[in-house]
Amino acid sequence: MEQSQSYMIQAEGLSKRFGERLAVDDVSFAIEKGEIMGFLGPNAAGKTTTMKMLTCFYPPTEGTAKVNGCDILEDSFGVRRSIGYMPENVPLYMDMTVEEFLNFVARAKAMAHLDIPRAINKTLERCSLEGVRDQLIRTISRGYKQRVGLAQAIINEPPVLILDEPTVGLDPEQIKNFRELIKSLGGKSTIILSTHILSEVSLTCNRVCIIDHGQIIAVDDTDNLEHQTNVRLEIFAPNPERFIEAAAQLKEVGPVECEGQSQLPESEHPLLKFVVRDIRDRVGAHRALFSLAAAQGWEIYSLHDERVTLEDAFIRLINKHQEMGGKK
Amino acid sequence: MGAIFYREMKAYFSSLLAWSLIAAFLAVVGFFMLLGMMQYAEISASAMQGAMPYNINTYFIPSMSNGIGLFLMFFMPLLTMRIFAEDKRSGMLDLLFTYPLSDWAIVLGKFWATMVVVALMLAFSSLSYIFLSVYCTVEWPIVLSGYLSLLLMGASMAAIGLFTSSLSSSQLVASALNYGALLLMWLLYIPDSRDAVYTALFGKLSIMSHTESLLKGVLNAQDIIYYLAVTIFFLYLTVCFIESRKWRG
Repeated sequence: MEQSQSYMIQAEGLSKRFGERLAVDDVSFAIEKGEIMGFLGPNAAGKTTTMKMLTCFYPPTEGTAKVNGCDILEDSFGVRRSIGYMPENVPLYMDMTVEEFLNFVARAKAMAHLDIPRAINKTLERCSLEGVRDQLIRTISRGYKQRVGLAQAIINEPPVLILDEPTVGLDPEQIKNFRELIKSLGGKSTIILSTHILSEVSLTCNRVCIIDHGQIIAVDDTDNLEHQTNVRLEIFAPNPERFIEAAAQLKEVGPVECEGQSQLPESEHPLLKFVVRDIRDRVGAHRALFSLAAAQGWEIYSLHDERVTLEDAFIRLINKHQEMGGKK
Repeated sequence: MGAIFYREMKAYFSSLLAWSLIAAFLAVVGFFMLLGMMQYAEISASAMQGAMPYNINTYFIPSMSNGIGLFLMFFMPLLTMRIFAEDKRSGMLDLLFTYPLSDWAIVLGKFWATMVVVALMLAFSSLSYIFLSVYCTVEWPIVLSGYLSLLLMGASMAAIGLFTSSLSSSQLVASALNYGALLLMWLLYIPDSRDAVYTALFGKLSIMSHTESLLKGVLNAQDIIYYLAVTIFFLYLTVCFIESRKWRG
């Protein structure tokens, strides 16, 4: 019980089925207060569906979730009061001015009438929208529309923000500003942000949740995923199986993959090329690999580190997941 | 509800939609009244010779109100077709569902805003009676009872329009469904029907058959209840339909 209270968002076994298609499959995660969590996944992975369930747009087929202590099935109003949601493609009322629209949103979110003018001014300032406050939304640029979309989510300063692909369709300069803005909201608000752009996650999020085919395939700190190292190793050894077997005994290194071999005239053993993945302690890993080679009488031809980018981690996780046939 | 009402009022009045519909409606009603007046003048002139008293309050006013009701039927779908379809198409409706607003608040906010436009249309059309009262004695209770009937009929039509608009994200489809529904409900009323069974079964369901006594100035609880029931029924259907997102796959 104590544990569950420190989480701002807690999903347990969320599933959503549309007819035959299982869009979200048994998804569980927990997000602490003030965290910025990135939902990362290819298109149609189930990101939007998961978010829509958290906003009480539709209920899950199975499972449930708590947002700010309110259950999405039992206390839909409590949840909806706690969240600010920015949907994909940002729908807005085109025939209203920016200020009128925010006024409408503030009233729809049941803010006290006296607080509304101040909240509008503050939100316009935070989203740098003062210059267009009296313009019809139809006439403002895409970047401004996107900001109005964020403004409607944050106007009542909700403890939870759910942003669905917030930077799609912006130019690089706008994306940069937008990310700064989102980052500045973190800490105070708990944010879920979905994207299929990897750099976005490493630039804005503390944690990342990789989703594919409706399933979570990894949840980790962005730093952890990024700061892993791979070691590329070329070694003269009798055959790949022997090396993989021996390397599997080492606790310092992760999975080992053979990437090819060639026979050089200088050596009786073939030259095997390996990539050793997921190394956290580089020095330890190097040491272990050298000792292994020495003990077996194999010669190391070359060994170098290679930083893992989020791209690599992502693509490898997705591929691994798909090879396993999406399990279950 | 207040927020949705505010938004819909902006949508009706900051675009030309409400104003142009009100203007077109008034032009049609005005011309219709002019024709009616000319006809009435002719009939009463010939009636004078036969010494049969024709009264403006029993002849002219009810048939005018009846005509206004018919025109209302043609204008209402134009007024309500966008009310849900537009929000559905833009995705705004999905966003509204994530605000702390109940489905009833959304439906009623839109309904009351539509009723304001209907009330304005009717209020402006009543100016004709004020001009008429300069030339003859208008029995105001009959006029008011006629307008009560029109307002109730307008509410029923607005509720039906809200429902058909919630069914589709295309305004054209919504208006087609709405015209279909209204014209069918109108045709159910065949005043000369000799078939008692038919009249008993369907006649009472018609949206026009309940105006008769109201137009003559007779406040009949049955008729008032009919309109309120139709209004509430269709508003309820609308709420049910927008709630169906929660269980439809």
